[in-house]
Amino acid sequence: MSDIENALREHARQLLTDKTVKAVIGYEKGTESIKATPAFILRPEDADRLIFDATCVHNLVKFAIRFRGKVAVVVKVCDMKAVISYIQEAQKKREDFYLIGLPCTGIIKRDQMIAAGKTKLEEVTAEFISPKCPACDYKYMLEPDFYAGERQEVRVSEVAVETGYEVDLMKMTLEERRKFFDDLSQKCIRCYACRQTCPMCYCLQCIVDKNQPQWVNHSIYADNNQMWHLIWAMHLAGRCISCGECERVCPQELPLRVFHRYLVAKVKEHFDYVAGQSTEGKPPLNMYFLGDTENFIR
Amino acid sequence: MTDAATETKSTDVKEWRPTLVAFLCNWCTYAGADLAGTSRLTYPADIRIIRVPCSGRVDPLFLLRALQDGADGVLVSGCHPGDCHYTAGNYYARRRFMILRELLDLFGIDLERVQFSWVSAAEGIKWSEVVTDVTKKIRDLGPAKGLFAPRREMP
Repeated sequence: MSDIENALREHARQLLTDKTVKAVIGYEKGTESIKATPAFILRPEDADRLIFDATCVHNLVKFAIRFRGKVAVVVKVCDMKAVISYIQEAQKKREDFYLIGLPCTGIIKRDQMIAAGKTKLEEVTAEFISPKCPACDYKYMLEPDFYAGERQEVRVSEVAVETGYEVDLMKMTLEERRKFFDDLSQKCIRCYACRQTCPMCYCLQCIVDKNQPQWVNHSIYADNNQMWHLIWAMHLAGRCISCGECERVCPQELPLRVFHRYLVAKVKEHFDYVAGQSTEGKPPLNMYFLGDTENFIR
Repeated sequence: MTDAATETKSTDVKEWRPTLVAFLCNWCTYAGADLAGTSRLTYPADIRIIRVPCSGRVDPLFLLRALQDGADGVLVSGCHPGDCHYTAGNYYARRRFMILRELLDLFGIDLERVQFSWVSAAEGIKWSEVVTDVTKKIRDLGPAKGLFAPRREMP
């Protein structure tokens, strides 16, 4: 048991004994190898279940959003952007969160590790670290209420910006790009795991679940899958916090973040805005400037 | 009368005619189109107009759904900046469509098929020019086949 876990458990126990929070949302050991599971700790004596290591991949903040009253959440540096967005979009108040920060040095890609026959945490090598982690600068954009373990120094991230397919996609012709997305949506089974895990998809009723009027047909055909991906990308434009959860949970292992990463880059280019940086201000599509470019409008 | 406008009077029924869906703001462009009509201006009749309260009302979903359901092109037209009946609807629309265009470009849809314009209630002539030009562009591009992935029959 590491110092981080010791401090985490001790503090969680204290919080629940004092009744500062109603629950502590953290990670516990899963039933399979190298797998952590979200844990909802309601009683002080359960605090010893909490763990923290590279298998703690989930973004737990989404579990906190419907929680009434104050709730403690274990947040990694990347998860903090979701907290910031919730506060910015008036979904939850800062005082309703009790944020527990920790030093995280990167999370694993479990599926790839299992596929490679590696079932121990000691076997983690650089290729099994999530692609978002080298782009992390270890800087909490919102100060946590408590920091478990020794404070991690802010660093210069190994890669400035995380990029992927979309860089190559824009070098293709229009038809090749169409082909790429046709193939993607033929494989998609529209299980909506991406939506369920997306921290920014917190609507009580999603537009694709509505049937009066029905905007996206529930059928399994690829064109409706494409509608879903396009609508989802539009709804996340300027809001996506680049947490990578959608790609992690996709059972078909689709490169779903192509849309989102591209729009993140375009929002930065047009509106000079990056989501999840400040609780002040508004998302770029919820505001305007009189002098916005309109060269595409005749 | 422009050449394109004359062409639409062709009696050849086999000639392909595009389906153009236009979302017009009630306060400016719809009135502008009305003015074009009362002024006896002609423009291609390939356009299907849907009246909306404001260009800010136009959800990107409307355009996507029109394209999915077989429109060859879509046009959104509203008040000039500063003229919005609801003060700022067109400013929001402007930002939204800027991002939508980027997304459709990545997705591989020819951006000529998704057009935007500001046409005021006094600009009947501009409206007929816009429609003539947009229709010509869509005709040159041809039918929008397979903008969305083909439906594959299940085994």
